[in-house]
Amino acid sequence: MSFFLDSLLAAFHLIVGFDAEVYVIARTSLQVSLVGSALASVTGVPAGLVIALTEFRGKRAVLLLLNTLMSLPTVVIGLLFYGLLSRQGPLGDLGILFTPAGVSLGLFVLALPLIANLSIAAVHGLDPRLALTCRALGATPLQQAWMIIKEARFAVVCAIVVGFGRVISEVGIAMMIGGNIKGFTRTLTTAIALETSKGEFELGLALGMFLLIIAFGVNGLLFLFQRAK
Amino acid sequence: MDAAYYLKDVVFAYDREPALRVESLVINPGELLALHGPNGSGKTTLLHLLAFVRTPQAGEIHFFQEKAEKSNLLAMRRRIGLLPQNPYLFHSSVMANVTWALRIRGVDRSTRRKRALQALEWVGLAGFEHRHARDLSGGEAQRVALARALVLEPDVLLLDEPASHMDRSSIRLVEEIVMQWNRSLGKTVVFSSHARIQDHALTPHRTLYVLYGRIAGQGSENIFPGRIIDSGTSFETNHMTFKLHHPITSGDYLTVDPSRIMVSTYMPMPRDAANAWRGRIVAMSEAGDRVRLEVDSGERFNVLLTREAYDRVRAVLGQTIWLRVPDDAMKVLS
Repeated sequence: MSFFLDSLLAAFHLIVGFDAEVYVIARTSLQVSLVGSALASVTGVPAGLVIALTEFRGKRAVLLLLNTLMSLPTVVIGLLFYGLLSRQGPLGDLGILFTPAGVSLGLFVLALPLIANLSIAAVHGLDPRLALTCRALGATPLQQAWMIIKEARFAVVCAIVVGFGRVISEVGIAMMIGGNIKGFTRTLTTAIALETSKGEFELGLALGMFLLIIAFGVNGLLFLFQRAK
Repeated sequence: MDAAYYLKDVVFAYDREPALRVESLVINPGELLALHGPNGSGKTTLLHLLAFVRTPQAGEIHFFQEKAEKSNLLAMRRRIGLLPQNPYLFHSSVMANVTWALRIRGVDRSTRRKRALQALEWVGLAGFEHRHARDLSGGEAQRVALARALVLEPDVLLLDEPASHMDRSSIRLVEEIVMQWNRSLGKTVVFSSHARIQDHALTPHRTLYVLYGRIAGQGSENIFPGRIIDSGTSFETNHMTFKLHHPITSGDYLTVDPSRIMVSTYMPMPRDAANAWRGRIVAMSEAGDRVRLEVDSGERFNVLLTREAYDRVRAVLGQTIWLRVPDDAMKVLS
């Protein structure tokens, strides 16, 4: 118990003492996660809206695919993109393997089906009278879509937050595409795995606490948004 | 054709089951039209087709001489105000709800506000503009939805069961607004009701009965459920038997056009004339340029009399009179 408490105390000192290594890792983690989840949000939310509001051939297949992709293991995405982005791969010329951009791309693919699926659920959860009301009031499809997002704003923000939570807490993609390069692609999760295996439990714990602080901050914002609603 | 609406061979189906079929329907500009019929008969579907928020699978709808097509649906919708039976209000303030449709039409902020305040005053909700939609009662929400439709100053106002969620005073207010909208401004108004039309202060120019997804007939306020008997020569209701001129094989309802019922203070000749009964006048009211009598003859009949016919009969409340239903005033529906 003393070991754990000592480690916790040391971790706390690393954070309040603005330990450079901890903050660089946290910044990298935030950077790749924000880019990945932002890209997934700007594509996933409209895609979810379109899928939810329109009828087309193969809609069920698309929903099935999105559901399947939601449970895709992160190491599989990492493996896939490792193959695609490596020098011999079809996207090798991009030169983004072992870079934050490569990690963001992998995280985008991880979050996209999740955000799209949750956006579909958000729209399906809306009152069916909403679309009819918008149409009756003379809204164009774009104006209608905007009002639907506004009315589903809490559920849509929830979808984005869940997507962000998924990408910031994953380890497989960051490890395989990022390569866990110190000061460049090392993220909170890959660093925790590495430092703990090296026996640097205090540092691992400090990084873990940082991850919790970020999760708390994001959920706090969501809570404030919900109250404002 | 000089009509607000002209519907021809219109079919609308939810999934594959047809919910409404309209062979032909003309609604005149400036007309106050009532759609009457039981719940689930197709009134709401018809109003949604008239509002162009649903598209029929077959047939044509013409709106002020223009055929409704995909390219002009939006423009047509913007000339119509629809008050749904159970309206949806956006999760925002009353003001935001009432002004949204103006905003998406590009109306400037000050005009939006001015028109919204005016519309809220019409529906008796002045001072409600800052209230949140979730804090309104059912009747208030319905009136906000009406203000949201009126603020657009539409050419056509469609009201789906306007009295269904309102208290008595709200109903009166809405009925007065609608009458004023129709009479003073000459706007076309179509409203639906499953209650008896005479329970409303609204006096329609015309009443259409919608039953089983079809327009059963004009002015068919007398709807009697029953069954065919005597090898198809009679229709038996709960309290009376109607003789049918032409034998038919099936039918669940018999409708009688109230404007075709003949009224007399004397027994019709011959004494055994078909479909003639004695009844007592239990209610009387004005219905535009006509007089409406409610006569209890076993079944309750609504009778619409011209002023001349009324003067001739000199009907008074409680008086016993004779009714005669001509063959062509009856229609059996299945």
